[in-house]
Amino acid sequence: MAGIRDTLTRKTGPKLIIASAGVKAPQRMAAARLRKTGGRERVELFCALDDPLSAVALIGLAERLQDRRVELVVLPVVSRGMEGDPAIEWKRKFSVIDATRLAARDGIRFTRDAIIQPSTTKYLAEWISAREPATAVTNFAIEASRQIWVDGVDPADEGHFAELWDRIVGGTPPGPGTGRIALNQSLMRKRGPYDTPAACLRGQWFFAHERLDRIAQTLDELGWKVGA
Amino acid sequence: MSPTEPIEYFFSYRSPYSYLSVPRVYALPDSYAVNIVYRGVIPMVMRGQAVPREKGIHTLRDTKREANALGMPFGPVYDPVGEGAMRCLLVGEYAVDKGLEREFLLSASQGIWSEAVDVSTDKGLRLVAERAGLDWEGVQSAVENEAYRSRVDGNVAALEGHDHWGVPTFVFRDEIFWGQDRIVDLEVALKAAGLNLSQ
Repeated sequence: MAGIRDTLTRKTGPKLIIASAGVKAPQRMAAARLRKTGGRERVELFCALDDPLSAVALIGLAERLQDRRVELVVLPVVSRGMEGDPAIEWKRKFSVIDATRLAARDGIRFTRDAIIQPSTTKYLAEWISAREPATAVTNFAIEASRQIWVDGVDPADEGHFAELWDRIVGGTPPGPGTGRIALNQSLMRKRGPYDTPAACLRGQWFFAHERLDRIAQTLDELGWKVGA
Repeated sequence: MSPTEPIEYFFSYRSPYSYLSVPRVYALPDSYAVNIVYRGVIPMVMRGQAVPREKGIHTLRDTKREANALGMPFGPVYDPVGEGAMRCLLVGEYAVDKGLEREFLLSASQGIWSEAVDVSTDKGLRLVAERAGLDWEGVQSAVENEAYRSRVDGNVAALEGHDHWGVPTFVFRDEIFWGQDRIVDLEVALKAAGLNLSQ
């Protein structure tokens, strides 16, 4: 019995999981059907505005999705990470160093070297999640992240970001309590990711900050090439 | 021969990302004045750290995509968690004494992650050890060797001493690089330190 159980958990289970990795024919066909009807592909990005790795993902994906018929849907969350993770604080500190190195690969210089508490940027997550996904809202999220991590703007400066919202999205930001952060957090768990930044694309998900080129490659394999 | 600087290489036989890192890590001394200090560590779940099911699933899928990109085989696998991982760690220390750790890491991780070799069995362990150039008699002694067990515990303590837990992890001049896909960032640091052999 133990032998069978061992084979199932150590060999057969992993074999099935590995076989499910990557782009398969049904996904390619679904993408082709969408293209035929003039539709656009969606990349959902679960991210956190206090998270420097999410900033890497937002800025990097914006660049890599340019000139593709692909919509970047920004779904901000606040609570994330493995339950009971004893290293959560250390990971948060290390993420600043890691994100700075990853951004440098794209020629971007992060200037902030201190962590941000999730509560500090929760209002930004509220604003973004209160609106239906739209290019302007996505652009706001990208620019806000860039300003926080590259320009060093104080993330607690609500007035500054309200002006930015007005400039990019238009009008005053949504009022408190109108956001759908809890819904995004629940959707993230349903899709599989347990931490940010996570990009979901046709049933696959990636830790987006370290898989930017792999996401672009997957879009190529699905037929969503640059200029196509 | 010019002096070299050490890169501590924290490695787990149970980590598919560690497997992906092996060829590139041991290629570093070809380009930089460095030496690789192998430090095999006990898998996270065997150190009492909870790992969610979704993390395990994601790791296998992600590793498959990364392996394809690197041109490395991945699958069929045989998860070595438990006795298999521990036996490899002990033989890894024996391989260090014999100067064959590179060969053993390549052979064992390839066996586990692309040939479904069950290293908890004598047959499996013998296969990966002998093709790395290790003698079976020595390997049999190694898995009973308490001093090797202490060395493995020391490796875990060293990783924790860096306030770290995950693998593969590289430590160069107290700077930590975590992940097989961070070797490129490590190389940036090596170049900045003037260790590029072609300079």
